Amino acid sequence: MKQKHFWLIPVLVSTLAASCQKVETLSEPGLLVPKTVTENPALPSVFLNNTLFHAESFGNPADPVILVLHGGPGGDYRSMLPYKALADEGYYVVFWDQRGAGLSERQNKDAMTVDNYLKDLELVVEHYTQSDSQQLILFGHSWGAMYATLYINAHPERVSKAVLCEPAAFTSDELNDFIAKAYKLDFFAEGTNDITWADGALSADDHASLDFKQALAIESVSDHERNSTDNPAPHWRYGAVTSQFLPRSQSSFDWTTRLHEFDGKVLFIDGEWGTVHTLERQKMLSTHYPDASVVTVQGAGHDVLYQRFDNCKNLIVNFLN
Amino acid sequence: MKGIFFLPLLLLLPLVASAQLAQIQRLGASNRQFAGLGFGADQGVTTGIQYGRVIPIGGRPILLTAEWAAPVGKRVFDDSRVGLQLSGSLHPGRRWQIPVSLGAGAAFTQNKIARLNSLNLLVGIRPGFYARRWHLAGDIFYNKILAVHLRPSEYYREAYYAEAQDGWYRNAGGQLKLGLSGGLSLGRNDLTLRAGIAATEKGRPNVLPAYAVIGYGRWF
Repeated sequence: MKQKHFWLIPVLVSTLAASCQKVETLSEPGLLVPKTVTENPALPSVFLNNTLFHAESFGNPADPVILVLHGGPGGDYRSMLPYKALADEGYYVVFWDQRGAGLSERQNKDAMTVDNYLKDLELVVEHYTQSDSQQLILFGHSWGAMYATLYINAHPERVSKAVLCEPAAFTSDELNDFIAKAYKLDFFAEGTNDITWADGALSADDHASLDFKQALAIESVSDHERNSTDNPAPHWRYGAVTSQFLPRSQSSFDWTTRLHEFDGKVLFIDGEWGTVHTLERQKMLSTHYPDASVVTVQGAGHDVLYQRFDNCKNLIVNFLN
Repeated sequence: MKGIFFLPLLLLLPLVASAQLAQIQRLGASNRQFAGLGFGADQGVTTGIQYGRVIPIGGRPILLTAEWAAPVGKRVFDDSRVGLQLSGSLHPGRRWQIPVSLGAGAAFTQNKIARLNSLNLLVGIRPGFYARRWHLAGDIFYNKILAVHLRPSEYYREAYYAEAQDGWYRNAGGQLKLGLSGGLSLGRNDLTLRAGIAATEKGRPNVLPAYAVIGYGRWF
């Protein structure tokens, strides 16, 4: 008879364990991913184009403006913050997390359009410059370098110079070629199954859960970037909605049609180790610009700007001077 | 808040036995035990094994099945799921049947950013035509993730968010599968195929938005 009550032992153990455990709600701000500007008003921010951006600036606002464009889409400027040191070289350095990305306000997929992104950048330029004649330098990494090219193609007369680090493409054909090489679908790979298997344990549709899983997706398919595992480039939050829906908003594009009108110099920075972001790709992309040069930084992959900060900063200072 | 409400469900460990490999119309006196092997795409390229035993509940034959499944990959044992489920038919012995299953279990996964262990509840319905040696039926599964224990990795804390909280989280969502199930019996052997679409409980497509699992099993 006693044997029939053995099942009570795990009941009691579980109940005891439950009473000691705090259970959180996944969507509660600040648990899985950092709070955004709407959740933490103490963060520096600027309201433009009907959204609140996480943004900060360093240096004298009257100096030539360096506008920093982070990667992604959906990433953030945390890994590029060391370049605030350019303020000591006589520049006004502006950082901002793009629409729906990093610590900026989350947005739904309807707001994730290239047109909206271009409008955002136009308003950011307007907000941080004192006049149309103030020198404007765009400094972009990866997607940020593509974003810079989108802007230069729309306003070739407004930009003085550009520093572009490992953009993937400036046209949809180039992007399709990049994606085919960078993201070969391998159903038997550990990284692929890490992403798909997580759905069985975490399948919530709230923003925080999606952002957390977006970090997993990014980390699981980035082997081609060949980044050093020592001192990894830091992020705050990958905006899942931005990452997934901005690229879908414009399936066919060509951001090179007016680049021949751009008379400023462009510096392309290439990390030595990347297997898809290669020197050849950077040279090919540089031909869209009338006056561009390409420099390879040794001993780094796609996160070259962070992992070889001193080298890159010197390159940029020399280029701008 | 205190989590008294769900942790006793640990007792229901485990679930996620979503790929029933046996032909349910074969439950009976001569078929007492079942062992099966499944392979296919189901939240990853997955291999699973099952063992089932027919037990009478309320005068009806019910199949109690235990399952272990894991996706392929470089590291075999970092991701897996285990489950127990009870399966039976609402109209046993007829051609048109509504087999239902109810299970509980756990899913485990470890990746670059976190370790996740979840407690799940599973409900399955496969209404359709069940002949003596074959069946064709709808395949509806709901995998409710009751809670997940999430432990962010050191990498995630270093590279993303140092203050990420480890612990139990509720509102972890759920998985819906909608498809077709077919099966064929040859002697004591069963072949089954299930395929369909997979989405979250709110209808957002999964990363792998479809499933297709082929199974082989033997009664003894």
